Amino acid sequence: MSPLPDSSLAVPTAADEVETSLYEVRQRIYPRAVSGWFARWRVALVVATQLVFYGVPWLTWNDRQAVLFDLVSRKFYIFGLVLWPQDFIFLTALLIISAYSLFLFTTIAGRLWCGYACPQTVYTEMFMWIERRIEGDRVRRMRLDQSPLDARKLGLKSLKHGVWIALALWTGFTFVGYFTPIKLLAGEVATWTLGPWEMFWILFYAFATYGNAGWMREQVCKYMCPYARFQSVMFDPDTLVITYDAQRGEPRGSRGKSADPKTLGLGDCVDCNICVQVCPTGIDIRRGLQYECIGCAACIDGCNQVMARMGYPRGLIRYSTENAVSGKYRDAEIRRHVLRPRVLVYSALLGIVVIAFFGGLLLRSPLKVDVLRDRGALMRDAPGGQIENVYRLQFINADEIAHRYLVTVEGLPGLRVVTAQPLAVPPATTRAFPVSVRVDPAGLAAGSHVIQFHISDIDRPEVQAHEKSRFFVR
Amino acid sequence: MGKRLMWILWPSFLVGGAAEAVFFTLIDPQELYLLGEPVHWSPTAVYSVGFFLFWMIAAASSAFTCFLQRSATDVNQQG
Repeated sequence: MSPLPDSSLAVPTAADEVETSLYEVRQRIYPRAVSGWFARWRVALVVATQLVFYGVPWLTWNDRQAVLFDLVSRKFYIFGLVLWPQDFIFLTALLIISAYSLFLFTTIAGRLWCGYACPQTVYTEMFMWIERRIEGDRVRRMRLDQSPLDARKLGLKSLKHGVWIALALWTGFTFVGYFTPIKLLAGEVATWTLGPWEMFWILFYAFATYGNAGWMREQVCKYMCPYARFQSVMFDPDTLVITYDAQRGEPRGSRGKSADPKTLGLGDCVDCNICVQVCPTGIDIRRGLQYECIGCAACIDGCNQVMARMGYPRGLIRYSTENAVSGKYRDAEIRRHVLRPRVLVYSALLGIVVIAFFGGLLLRSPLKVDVLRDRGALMRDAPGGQIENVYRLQFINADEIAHRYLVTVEGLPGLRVVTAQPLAVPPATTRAFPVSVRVDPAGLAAGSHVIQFHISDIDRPEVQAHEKSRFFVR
Repeated sequence: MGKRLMWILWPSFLVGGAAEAVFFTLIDPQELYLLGEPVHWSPTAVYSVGFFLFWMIAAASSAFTCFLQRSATDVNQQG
């Protein structure tokens, strides 16, 4: 029988200190496979996120790759949307949205991201699945690792690493396929004509995947992930976290299936250690909330199976809140504590940024024009005693069809554009045109005059741009 | 040692990635000059080399921080 912990929250103990100093001497973790409600959810999310990741680069939209971050021509294609460096603000907004979503989910239900969607979890899950298929479950893997190297072990290990490397290479290839058209890339791989940098980045990403999911695993979460370190600032006593119900479970101890725990003076925890064995980060959830817990809920699934076998109610380990476990309110009332100031503030901020993001996208003009004065001459004489100034108009047609534009000027009496119009710009292209503007200088003061360029799309008159510049008169 | 390497290389990797994204969003690699001459490398090469430069600079800073973290006793004992 072990002593009853007085609180569900972890208090550093001597054992913690020992663990800290052993830091580098990593105890290899052999997570036991687990099945159950949460495990099914995780598998579903692994499949869903990876179908998206591996599949999206192969989709076509407007005769081009649907999602392509074309760094070479500095354009990001996301389905119908083409983003230019000028649209940096949208990427920023997207990052803010991601951050606030993370804050919001974390405040409500802890590390949902870590447990179900983080690439580290997802790839570790995939790599462990391969490992289980090849080497067997926990006990067989431990036995295999302890056994001396023979032909069978060598075969199993090479097979495992071979499959891992193949999956890692495919992942690296897909990653690079987001930046280089993937069909072109596939052709280059097939004919062995990959460019040096493409080759390098495929191998780099593959190596990172293989290393992180095959070897590093929980160490990435424990020692490398900044989110794991600051997640606690988003937690409050009403946050749903994976908790062991110490009041119900303690004193823990093994007993026969037919034994009555009350007469033995025992709680519901049979001390089977399944919750520790299934944990991918190797912690004991019964010691309370720990920063290593990635919220994967494998221990809930594991414990529920044991409880069912013992004929005890489920949920000795369950999603609950600090306040609920300490008896401030019942589990059934957790929902009523979801809407609290912190959650409302995060939701409001998230809502504002989301509205601004989509509003901005809808109102975004598909035409951008920059007017620069010609660097050559300030002005020149034109036939009929007129004065001519030349400008360089830089057009960005952010639309995916070609457009024709009309340029007009105002600001001086009789000011007009003499360059042949309209000006045509191919789809999703930047193009510069020299534009000459003339005026009869009679009655005009010498020096600089502010003028206004108006540019409108012939096919869509509502698409307009207005730019200021200067006109020089002698 | 491994732990220290991780402390140096990992945060600098993240910072290097962020620096890369911000720098090249604002500046077109075609507009860069190398030793007084326009860079004639491919954009992919500029992006890649740029990333490793940012990573290295950030790693140098992390390494320096690690170096200065040694306590007085460490310095006195090991010279």
